[in-house]
Amino acid sequence: MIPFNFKYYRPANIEEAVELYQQLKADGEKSIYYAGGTEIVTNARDGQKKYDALIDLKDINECLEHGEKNDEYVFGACLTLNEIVEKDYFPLFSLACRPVADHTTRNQLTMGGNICGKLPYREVILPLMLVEANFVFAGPEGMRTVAAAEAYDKRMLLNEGEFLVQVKVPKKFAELDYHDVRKVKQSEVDYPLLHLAALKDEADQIRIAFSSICAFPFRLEDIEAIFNDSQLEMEEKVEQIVAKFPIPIKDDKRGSADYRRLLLGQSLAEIWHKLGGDA
Amino acid sequence: MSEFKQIGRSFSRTDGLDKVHGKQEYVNDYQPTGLLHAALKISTHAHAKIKSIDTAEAEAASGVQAVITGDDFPVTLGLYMGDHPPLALHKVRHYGEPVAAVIANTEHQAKNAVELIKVKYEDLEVISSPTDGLKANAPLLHENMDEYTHIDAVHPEPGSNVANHTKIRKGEAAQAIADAEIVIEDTFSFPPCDHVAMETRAVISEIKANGNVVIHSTTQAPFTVKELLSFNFDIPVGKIKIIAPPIGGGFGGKAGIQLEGLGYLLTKAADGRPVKLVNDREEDMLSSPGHIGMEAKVRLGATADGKLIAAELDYHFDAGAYADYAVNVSNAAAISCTGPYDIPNVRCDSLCVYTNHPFATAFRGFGHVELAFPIERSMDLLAEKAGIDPVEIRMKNAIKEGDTSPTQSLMDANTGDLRECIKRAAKMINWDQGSFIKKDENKVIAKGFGLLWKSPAMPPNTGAGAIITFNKDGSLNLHTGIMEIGQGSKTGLAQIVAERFGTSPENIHLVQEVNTETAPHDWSTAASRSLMMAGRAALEAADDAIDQICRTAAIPLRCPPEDLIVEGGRVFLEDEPSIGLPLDDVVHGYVYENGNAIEGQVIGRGNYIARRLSGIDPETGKGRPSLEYTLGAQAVEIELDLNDYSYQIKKAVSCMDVGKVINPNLARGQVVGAISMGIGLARSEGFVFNSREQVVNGVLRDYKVLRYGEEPEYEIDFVETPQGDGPFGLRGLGEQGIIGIPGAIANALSRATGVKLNYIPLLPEDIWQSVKEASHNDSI
Repeated sequence: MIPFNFKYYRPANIEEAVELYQQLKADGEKSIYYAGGTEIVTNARDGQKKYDALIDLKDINECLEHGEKNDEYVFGACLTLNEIVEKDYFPLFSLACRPVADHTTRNQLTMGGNICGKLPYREVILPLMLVEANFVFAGPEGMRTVAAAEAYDKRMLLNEGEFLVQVKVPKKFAELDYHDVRKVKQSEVDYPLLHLAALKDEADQIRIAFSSICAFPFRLEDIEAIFNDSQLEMEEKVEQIVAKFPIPIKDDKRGSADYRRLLLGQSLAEIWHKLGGDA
Repeated sequence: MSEFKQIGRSFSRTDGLDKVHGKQEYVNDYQPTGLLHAALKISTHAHAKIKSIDTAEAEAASGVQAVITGDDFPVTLGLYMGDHPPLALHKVRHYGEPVAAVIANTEHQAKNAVELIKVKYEDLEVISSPTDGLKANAPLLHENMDEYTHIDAVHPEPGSNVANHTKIRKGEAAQAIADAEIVIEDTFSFPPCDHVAMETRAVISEIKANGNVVIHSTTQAPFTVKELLSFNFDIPVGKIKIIAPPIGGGFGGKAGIQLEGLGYLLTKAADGRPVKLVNDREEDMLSSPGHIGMEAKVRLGATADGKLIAAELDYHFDAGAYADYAVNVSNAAAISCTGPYDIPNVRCDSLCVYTNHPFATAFRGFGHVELAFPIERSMDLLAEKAGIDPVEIRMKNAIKEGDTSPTQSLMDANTGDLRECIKRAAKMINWDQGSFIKKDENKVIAKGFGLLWKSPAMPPNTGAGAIITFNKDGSLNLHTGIMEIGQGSKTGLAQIVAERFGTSPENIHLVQEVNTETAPHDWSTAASRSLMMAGRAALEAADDAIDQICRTAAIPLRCPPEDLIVEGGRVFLEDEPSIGLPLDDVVHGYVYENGNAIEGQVIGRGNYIARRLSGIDPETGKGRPSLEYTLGAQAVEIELDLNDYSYQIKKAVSCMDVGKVINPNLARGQVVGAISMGIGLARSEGFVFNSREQVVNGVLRDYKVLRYGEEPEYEIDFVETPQGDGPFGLRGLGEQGIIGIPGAIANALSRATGVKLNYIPLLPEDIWQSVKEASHNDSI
């Protein structure tokens, strides 16, 4: 049970949602955009989060869009992970969505919620970082479309009062070779010790995005340059890649940094092997 | 062709449909008029003085009726030892301990007000393990232990942290070890964890205007609750009524007295109005008791050909902050300390040690799953040292009729056939095809074995009762004090009575809810004793009812009652079946055509009390505490990835000698469920503590129980060596399937890695660490 009272709104369109947020802010109330709610509700229940109002985005058509437009796939932010997995427009995206929580919870978990949430894992963003996805934001200044590199750095770069409406993925990426590695402490239904998504681009270069090995997901060109350097042995690559990590490898109750380092080496070797880095 | 019509058939559970349709009403579904709600403020410290509790703001909050703290009711309660204040008194002894309670008009208001209570603590030195608690300079968790009341069978050591010390002295263990040709010695451990029953504990308590106390509780032991409330609060026992609807999983966690003591204080603080207290999941894991932890040292001595001659066993249990059932778990582990092996010389010192961990209560396997882990690992270590196959060494030492138990009581003619169980388990796991198979460069398949035995740990005078009443159509109502906890005992009882009555179990209506005002007395639905003990009582009640039916029917039928039998809803002459009466003409008295009536309603009455049991000698452990022993053999097959040490349990097999299988599907279900719990213990379940002994994984996000999809293939078999005094020859089987599994899994993984893995849970990272350490040690 959530021990405090709050208001719940379910606006019908983008403009209403944005206005509501501004109005509540003007009234001195703290509001949160709400999609699946798995994180907000559980955090509120155990006292880690408090708010005056929730603005549920699940009635907004654009947030529920799921289809093809011209040369892009469109994924509304309020699609559940199961919806994305079941339609399977973009297999690497499905692979990133499928292991999050369990099937029942994925009926509730949304793509936007996973990406914009406060949890450090945010696995769903991994493929989006690899494919030059475009992120559509809505806010008091109107709508804007932002390239992945500008939309995300350690977290979604949303301005106050903005929310994620959709993500657009160029179709051509769905044709490319890919590989996904996810390691857990023991149970599959758990936050990962690491989750890597990789894709071999049209120039035969392997792109890799990392989640859970550090405190936030990231993709770095420097790391990919090392990984694609055929002069280096795998062990040297791993060594150099770790040195390029933005922050040290995570060490927590799920796994030590040493064990994660071991898994990282094995996972990178697996990606190299699967995507035929040598070819 | 079976000699039985109803025994040995897989009838569906009588409670099943309501449960799967969501129609079963649990305690939390009851909403009596005028209900108030309580919520708990729990400790964030594992060991601390309570400097102050500021309740002013909470008391002023909307809807709040009362706020109580330990000072309002300075009492200590307990199951076997009165060491436990319902709300912490002056200090907290474990993380999650309740320190204050709010009673409010709604649950929401109660939870809201709890947040307004401010507690100031002053940290005290923590005890992090039994080893820690046994140190000479360890802080005392219970300074006033000598003032606590306790039952005679518990042996606390005031001035220390030892809540119970059970000794087993059989033969000359030290000398025999010294003489042994092969000796192995090692240490083993596992942390405390939780039952994670699907239904969290809940209580609704009320004091009526006439002073009667009415409590709805999620309990396995309504009569124990009633009697302990009477004892602790000085309420005449007849004025207490416990209503216990079926519960959503017990596993021992609801076997003692849980929230009911606090529940009584809550209603008292609210002028007797009904107050509901429901644990949320985290409280159920941390504030209410869980599974005991253990540190064990085992020394086994054997002849060169692997025959056991001696065992020296030190079992140090992590009881957590309060004694609860833990003292008796440590006692039960001593009584059965060797596992199902014939060992002539045994010394066991089983200590129940207070620590600053969440406290422990009964848990499926009750002392036996705990002792089996070090013993089964040790048997593999012995096999390795002796150069004997692990199955062969178990076969060689398996206990049998004529041997004696650690308490020096004779294994009588009712002893099951453990060797047959071992043989069948070995066949099911294909042991002869190899216990270590290299699948490819990175994967190995390994197998592990574990034997089990279990006897009920219960007072020697434990009994059960049964009453049979009749409906006008001749169908039966069976009343017992047995709780429906998901185990299906009542369905088995219906089959037993149906067999005797020559009718279908559908004609036996079961009273699912236990109300202590009307149900016959029962000790507790625990110890896997229900079907045996209540089954005996039910059979006696059935025979009593049949006698009455025959007596009544004999009058109009003008025959001797002993010539009549009851079958198929009729009472009739055995040698001339056409002469008879339908039961509905008899069970409420026979009525002649002119209206004259005779004999009246039939009420069958039966009871059973354990025979020839005794406590044990406090110095030697000698005695006969065990009603029966269920014996069995289990094995697992695992596949290990040598890169990251992740593994899968591919197959689990079990063969137990249960005397007689009453309901094959339910029996299989119990064993499979128990194995899956054993896998949980071995694979992932265990509280993780930080340096301040706070639990860091006390939520289901972090505490992982086995999920569907992670289950192995199960193969379950039973041997049926009759238990002479069991109804239709049966003995208990509900808990047993868990017992051999943790040892079997650790044995398989030790074989797969070539490294001794003497701990659970076995997480891949920990296995990797152990392998690393072992290779490091080798290179020194």
